[in-house]
Amino acid sequence: MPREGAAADVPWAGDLARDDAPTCAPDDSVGEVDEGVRASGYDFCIVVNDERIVLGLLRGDALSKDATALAEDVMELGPKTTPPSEPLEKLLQSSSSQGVKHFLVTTSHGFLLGVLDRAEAERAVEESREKSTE
Amino acid sequence: MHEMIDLEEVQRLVEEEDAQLVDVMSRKSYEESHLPEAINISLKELDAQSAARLDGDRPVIVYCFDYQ
Repeated sequence: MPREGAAADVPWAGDLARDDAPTCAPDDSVGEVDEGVRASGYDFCIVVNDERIVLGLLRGDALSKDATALAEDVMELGPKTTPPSEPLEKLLQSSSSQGVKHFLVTTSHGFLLGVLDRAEAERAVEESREKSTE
Repeated sequence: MHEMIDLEEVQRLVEEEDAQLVDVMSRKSYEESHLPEAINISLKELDAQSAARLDGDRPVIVYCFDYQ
């Protein structure tokens, strides 16, 4: 929804979160998940429960070592998440975000809203700066 | 009675039932950013007296940061 206020034009993480990143259930096999990841263009899969609450993340070796393993057995538990109301500039400048290519945007309850791409976020911040100086 | 609603239902209630939006974040946060036409009653201020500003005949949508 649109926003009003003194900082209404400041872009937030939730503004650019995309919902096209692959997700899987904890009891999906890594082999199935890996196929979906390859087709998606992403290099990770977000493990969510039936209510789309983020449980973990599958990436790197976890996607290639054992195709018969279950996602819940090899996933990284409790990945870092970002609230949708986080201003992009603040997010990109935070020390904990350095080197992060994708941010998982969730509500405070862990409900997955989407994935924010760092390059898109950087472009949006740049555009916002240019607008504010016009 | 209260219930959790999603964004689509918020939009429907605002457009079709003239729902009132209440931002319960701090005054500072509200001044920085809020939904169009929302009023601010922060959680600290929320009581029967502050809620008396609301029209009891229209739906009331209370929100904070999350927008699920």
